[in-house]
Amino acid sequence: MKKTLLLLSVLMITFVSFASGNKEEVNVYTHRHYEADQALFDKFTEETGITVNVVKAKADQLIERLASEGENSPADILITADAGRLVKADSMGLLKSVNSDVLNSNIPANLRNRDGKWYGFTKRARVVVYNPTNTDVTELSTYEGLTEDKWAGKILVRSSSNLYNQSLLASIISHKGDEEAKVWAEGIVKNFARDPKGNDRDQMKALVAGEGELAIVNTYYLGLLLNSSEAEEVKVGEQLAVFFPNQGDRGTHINISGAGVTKSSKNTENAIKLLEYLSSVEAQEVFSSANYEYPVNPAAKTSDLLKSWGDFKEDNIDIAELGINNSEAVKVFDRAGWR
Amino acid sequence: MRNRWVGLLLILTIFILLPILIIGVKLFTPFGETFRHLVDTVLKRYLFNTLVLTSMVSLITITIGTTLSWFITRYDFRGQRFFEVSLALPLVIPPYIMGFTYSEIFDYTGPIQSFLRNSMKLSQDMIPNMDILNMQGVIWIISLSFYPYVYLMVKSSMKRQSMGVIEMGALYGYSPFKIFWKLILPLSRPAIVAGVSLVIMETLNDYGTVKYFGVDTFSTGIFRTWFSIGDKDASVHLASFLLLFVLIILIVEKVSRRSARYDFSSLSYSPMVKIKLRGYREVLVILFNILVLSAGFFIPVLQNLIWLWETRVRMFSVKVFSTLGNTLLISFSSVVVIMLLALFLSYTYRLFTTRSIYLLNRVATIGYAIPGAIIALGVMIIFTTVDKGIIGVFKTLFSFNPGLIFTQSLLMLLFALTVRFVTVGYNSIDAGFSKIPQSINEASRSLGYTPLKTLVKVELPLLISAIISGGTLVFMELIKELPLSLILRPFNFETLATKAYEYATDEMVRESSFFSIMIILLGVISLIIINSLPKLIRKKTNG
Repeated sequence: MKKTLLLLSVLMITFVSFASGNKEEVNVYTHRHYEADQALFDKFTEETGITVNVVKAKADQLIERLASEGENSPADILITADAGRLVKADSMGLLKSVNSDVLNSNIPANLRNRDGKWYGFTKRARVVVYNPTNTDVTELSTYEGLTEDKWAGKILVRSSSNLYNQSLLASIISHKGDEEAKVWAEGIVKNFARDPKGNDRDQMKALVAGEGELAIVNTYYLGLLLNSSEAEEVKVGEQLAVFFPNQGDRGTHINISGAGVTKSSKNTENAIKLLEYLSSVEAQEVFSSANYEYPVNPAAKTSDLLKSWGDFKEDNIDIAELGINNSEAVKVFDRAGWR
Repeated sequence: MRNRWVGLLLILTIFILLPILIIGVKLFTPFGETFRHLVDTVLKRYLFNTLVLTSMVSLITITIGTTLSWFITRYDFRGQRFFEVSLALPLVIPPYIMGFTYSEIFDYTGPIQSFLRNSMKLSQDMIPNMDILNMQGVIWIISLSFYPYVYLMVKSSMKRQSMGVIEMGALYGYSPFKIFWKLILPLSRPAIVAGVSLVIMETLNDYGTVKYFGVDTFSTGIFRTWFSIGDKDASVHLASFLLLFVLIILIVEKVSRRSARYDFSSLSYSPMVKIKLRGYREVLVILFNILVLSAGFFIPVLQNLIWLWETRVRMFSVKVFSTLGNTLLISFSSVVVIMLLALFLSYTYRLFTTRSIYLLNRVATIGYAIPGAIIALGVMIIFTTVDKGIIGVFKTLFSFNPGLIFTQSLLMLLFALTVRFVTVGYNSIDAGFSKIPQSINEASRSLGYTPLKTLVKVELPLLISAIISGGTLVFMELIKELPLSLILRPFNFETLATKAYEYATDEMVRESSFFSIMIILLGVISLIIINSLPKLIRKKTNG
């Protein structure tokens, strides 16, 4: 009896280990963690019959996993919430070139890799939010201006371990070089209202709580606050306004959330179909209305909320730069003491 | 014949040790460029934070744990029996869940501040700063979650202490406090050390809580270097230093226990007589117990139940139960493997009782002291190398690519969990064996049974209680486990712990409540099983 139990357990373990499937499917490794995404995947499955299997993890862990899995990885698509990671994945040889007229016409050239290795699907701007009753918007100008003494003890921003900050710094490294980027980072650290902690929404809550006066956040987080199911969070969002820095020079830093087909993909056709779906007007408008991100497809309409923030000049450096300078950005943060 | 057993033991021990050794050897290699960058910038902070965290948590858990044990063992007060059992409850709530829950409770948009603003109409400047996402906050959260380790160890030690000691103190005119401070406490030292070592090991292992609270420790540093900077080599280097730190602590613990004798050869043992507490003293003790129990168990559980109710519609889906299924699958499989291994380790020593076997066993059970991040790194390196090797062999010999075998499967996670938790099973089975006299073993052998048959037919039935309680303890640890599960799980495989963590770190703490409640529920059931075992056994033997 005990021996059969033992045998059963061993069999169960090995069976579970080797479980596989045989249907039409596409395997997605994604860092995006928004409910809207699952709804889109489900819609895609409904329309095409292709099952979407999803693994969610931090982008770095996904890339690490792809790298160690090598050509045997089951992943077909890598989706990240930041351009830097896509570039990193590409530089590690993890993505393959795909050619699609649909993708090329739906997505502007500066928001996708020129060899078709990855494509941006949404845009997000990293902006400064403030409370109009307490802060005079004419005092705001650029990211660099945030290091001025008048903002001492007033800047709220999350940890440097976060991708969005790393990409912002990477863009500054691209435009101005290492040294100036370090000076900027040190300037912000000097003006911290508190040690970095929490996420973008926490910075906004802290602003309203009076802990600081300005918060550096991604635009869609404000959207998420304003549409939260918790009344308290909506109240926070309603007290804030958006300022797009650097309108007078290079433009506001934007980042993309995007995807690429993996080199090891076994379901390439299905993968391309999914990517094309995500770039379609229908999906793009879902990103805009359900997730408050800016669509990349010029034909897609933006939601009213996004329209209310106004148009702005985007920093249109090659998005790939965000990835190239990423690990340097992490080191600059360390040197500047930005935790 | 003995050589076969010892040989197998040696092989298994080497397997278990491999992930740790791979990390350990890095200590002897020169610093790479990234590691030098780390040394220049963040290493001091990791070290400082880790030291502060472990020492403060140790201090607090010792204080709470010993005080509670003393109250429970020395005094009789209303509800004493209830408290004695329930004060261990915070163990079922992993520290990261404790952390998410309290941070949300004290948050600007959380229940307390919202109440103060809306119902009490207080303006924001009148509301005190309730930010707990810092070092002080995480120290208290972790202490609250881990004090039961000290409490349980010290309680069983104090229960065994002789009344004679107290009477002697009274003879010398000591006040009750002085008896506690000068006599009981020093006598409880081995139990305190054992308990606090567990606390320190668990604290060093923690990743989810410190990350969430924004405290940079070695654990978070290892993750960050591995994933954000992308330098696995430097990450392993960092891990090797943490390993050194852990080994030092282990050695210190061993040495401190050696230097004193705690038995009472001269005094005859008389069981502790409890003092009945009445009046304000009783009230104070009860209040203290209620305070600790509420903070450590009732408040977090109640809050999560409320959130569970609030999010019930959004959360109810198939995925939610498949996560439970996954957790049970990996946990039960691991329990089986771990208990079998523990049985083998312990029985080998029981058969041959040599010093070298004893040492091998000590080494094989070191995993509990090693932080999950280190084990995960080591296991990942081993398995990817093995898989690539296998693929290489298959390709050259058979020109066929079998695909990734081990790294895609649960085997990696299973192996890592075994390495980490075999101690828990081992301690239980070892304690169980020590209650079975060797004469039974000898009698069975003299009647012709082989060692294996003796084990299965004679001693195993006697060990049932130890196996069940050991297995349940292992189970309790497995359902809470986070760092190993986060890194080593296969495609699409979510456990209750990883899901709770994912929701919480995606700023959806309320939605994580379902998974948190499931973990807590499973833990409570386990505790009930462990606690009712003695009664069940007694019922069975009394027929």
